[in-house]
Amino acid sequence: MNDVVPTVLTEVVIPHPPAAPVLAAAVHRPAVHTAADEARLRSMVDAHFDFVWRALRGLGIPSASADDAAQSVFLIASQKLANIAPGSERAFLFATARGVAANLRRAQRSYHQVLDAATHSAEGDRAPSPEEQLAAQQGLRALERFLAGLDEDMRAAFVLFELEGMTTAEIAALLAVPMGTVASRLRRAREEFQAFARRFHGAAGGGP
Amino acid sequence: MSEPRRLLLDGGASERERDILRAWEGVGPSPGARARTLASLGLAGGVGAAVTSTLGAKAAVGTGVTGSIAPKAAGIGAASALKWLAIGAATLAVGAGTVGYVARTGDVRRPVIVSAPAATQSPVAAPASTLSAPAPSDPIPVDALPRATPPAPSAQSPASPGGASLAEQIAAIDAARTALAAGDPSGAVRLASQYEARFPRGSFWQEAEVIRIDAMLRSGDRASAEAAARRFVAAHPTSPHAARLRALLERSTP
Repeated sequence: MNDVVPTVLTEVVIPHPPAAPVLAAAVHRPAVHTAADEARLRSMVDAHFDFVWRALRGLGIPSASADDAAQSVFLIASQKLANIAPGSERAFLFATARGVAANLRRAQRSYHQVLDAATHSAEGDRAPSPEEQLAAQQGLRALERFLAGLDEDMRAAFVLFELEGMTTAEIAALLAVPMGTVASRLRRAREEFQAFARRFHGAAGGGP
Repeated sequence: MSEPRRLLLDGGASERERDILRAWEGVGPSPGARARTLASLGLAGGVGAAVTSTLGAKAAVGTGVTGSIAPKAAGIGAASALKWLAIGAATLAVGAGTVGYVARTGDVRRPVIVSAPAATQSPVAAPASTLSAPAPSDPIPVDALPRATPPAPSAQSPASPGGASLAEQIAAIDAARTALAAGDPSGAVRLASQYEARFPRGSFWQEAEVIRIDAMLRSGDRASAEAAARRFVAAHPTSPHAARLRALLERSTP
């Protein structure tokens, strides 16, 4: 038990730089990889980064936090690289994104809306007209509100199918659930979406 | 089983449903985001990766975000004692204007207090001695954000594995970020230092340090901020944060 009692040392000067890069690297780098691992990791980022980023957005992460969250997803992937079966990278990344999103949502609930209000205008790479932009922003807010109110499983199914264009078979494989389950989650999510769209347009004064 | 039609992509949506779903078409990461993630994984320049592969072997053993060896060996009581000592050390470090973090030696976690004043007396004291004012106005109105609630230190062991640890890390880093955005730089310094002490190998270590530096700048502690920024840039020359820190230092030049 003795050896676990921490010793507090005062006035220990660790010189910066030369030692700093070494120290920081040791402190900061959780995983070590072979060249093949690095190549695999890089191709995972290249192939799936946008998917992970949008999935995080769909899972309720505001755009201001999506970069950090996506980074966390790939950091976890780099740590668990040996456990990711070849061919199941996307499934692993999506499952990880769900976990990261759930944690972040909990952490950010208090100021999520403030943050997002401040950053919404930065969304999107195209340069639409002001009218389009306004409509898109309203649409995006509505979509986020809808997704936020969905049950976790329905949300995943809806995002992957309706927004990411995956097939129900792909989604079933990704979520490791039967296709019938995916179909029923989708059906319920879609009913909720249709009801939401009616309410949204009613509230926005658009009328039926 | 036949594939259902997609509301938007297969034209199955009503006009009003399309209005909402179409907004998704503009959603995507900014152009540099992927490169930043590659850099954070050490896959950008190759420099970081080289350092890692020669050095990181021991550090790589624990794949959890923070190691958990000491508490496992010591049991709950010792783990909790450790935690309080670590937090105490961090608090002490902040009080003395120093940087606190926990270094690991084998299976033992030892809080080590690194004297920042000594480190700041670097002869490389850039032209920055002309700088004195705190950072300019915050883009988010101070009153618009709620106060930060620091993560309860007793909630969980700092070394709890996997998801719980990540959740704790996120809560801790967000508390620091929120304090900064809310115009409480001294609180942000304290919370960022606490993060670094609790999660010496944490996923957001660089972010914590950037928040700490930004907060020191805003509270007028320019010398410490500059010294810390120089160390950071030297340690992580290819980090995306390094560029930001340079900009931060330049921007706050009076």
